[in-house]
Amino acid sequence: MHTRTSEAELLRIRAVLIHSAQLLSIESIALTIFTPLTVATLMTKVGPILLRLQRLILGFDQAIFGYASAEGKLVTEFSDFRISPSELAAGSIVATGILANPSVWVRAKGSSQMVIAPDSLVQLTSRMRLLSEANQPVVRIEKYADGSTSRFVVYVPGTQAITAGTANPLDMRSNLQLLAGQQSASSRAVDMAIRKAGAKAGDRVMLVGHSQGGLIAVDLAKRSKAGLLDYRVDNVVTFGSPVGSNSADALPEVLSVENKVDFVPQFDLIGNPKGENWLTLERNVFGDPISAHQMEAYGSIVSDIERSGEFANNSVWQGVEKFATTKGEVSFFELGQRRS
Amino acid sequence: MPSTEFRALRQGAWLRCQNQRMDDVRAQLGAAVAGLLAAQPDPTLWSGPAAQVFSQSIDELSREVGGLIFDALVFLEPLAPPVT
Repeated sequence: MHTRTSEAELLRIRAVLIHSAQLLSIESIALTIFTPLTVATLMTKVGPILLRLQRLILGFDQAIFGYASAEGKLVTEFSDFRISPSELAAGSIVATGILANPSVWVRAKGSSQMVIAPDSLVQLTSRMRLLSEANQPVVRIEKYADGSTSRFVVYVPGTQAITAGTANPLDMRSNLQLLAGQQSASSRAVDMAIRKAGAKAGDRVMLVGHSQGGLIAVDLAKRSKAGLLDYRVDNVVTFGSPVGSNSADALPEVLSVENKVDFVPQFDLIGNPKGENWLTLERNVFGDPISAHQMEAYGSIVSDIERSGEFANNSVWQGVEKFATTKGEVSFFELGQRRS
Repeated sequence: MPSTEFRALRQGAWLRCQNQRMDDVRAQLGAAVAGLLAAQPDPTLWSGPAAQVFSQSIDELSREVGGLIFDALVFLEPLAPPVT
């Protein structure tokens, strides 16, 4: 088929889509004299439509930022209506406008220290567990020299505040936004921390996240693959994160560890895509709903699988283990957001 | 206590106000459909597989928003006027 493209036409369509989305937003449809139930009914119908419009607009953003290689990407983006029920629900809530994005800040916590690169998935998991159990809005960033560029391993913990409006961006508001496929305050803060740690154009990043941390990792990886970030995300490792509604084509190599007894990774009701770039490791570690989701359970899954040697030759597994191999330095960054 | 005539007048005004708001919402949904239809690509400026898939998505979305205008007749029914 003959293909013709005018950037001006893409810009025109993008502007029309944004205008249509604005007409459908709750701020625009003044419903003050209707009951909350009526408003909720309308938004459950409008929310999913807005979510799809946002995806189309994102597709145009990607195309306009670098159209030359984007034709195939556009086909994927516009065909990708693989939306999970939880994503639809979250989309409806986000569409109400309740979840405005607060400004975020990042500050270094302590001074950096020497570190040796994790040589196994077990060691990587154990570093993720230590950070997660500290239960602080803090990310761990390891930096390794790689010729003229650097490699960064970034560990991101999960949700810590079950309400919104506190100074901790790892809250339920960020969770809902990420589930709805939007960028959250937590995701913007992690991106800011990575840049503060020194990541620049040409540097490679591996993102490791537990629960919401995994959603943040996937969000940043998608933005990186779309060319919207300076640094390049090469690998993503998620522990107990509901990431199944994402398209494998839009992501780099992803290794997901899931406890089949943990309800959180099943929250999107969609299994992870199967592809050459996506490896999902699953086991049963029984316990109550909280312990089944904790990093201790995920640590035992990884140890069990590593002992079995079942995936030792898998390229995604190897990509994680070989991402960094030298000595480097580790820093910690505290994340915050403006209270609302 | 207000007279029967005054209550009837107030009830009529309230219903007119509700109906006006519903008309506004329907008009806004109609404008969104028109906007989506205007987002259809001009084939002389953009064509190919992506344009085709996009065009189908827009058709689908505009049908859904159009459906909301009819839904609005039901789920935005005026409430019973305030009891006085």
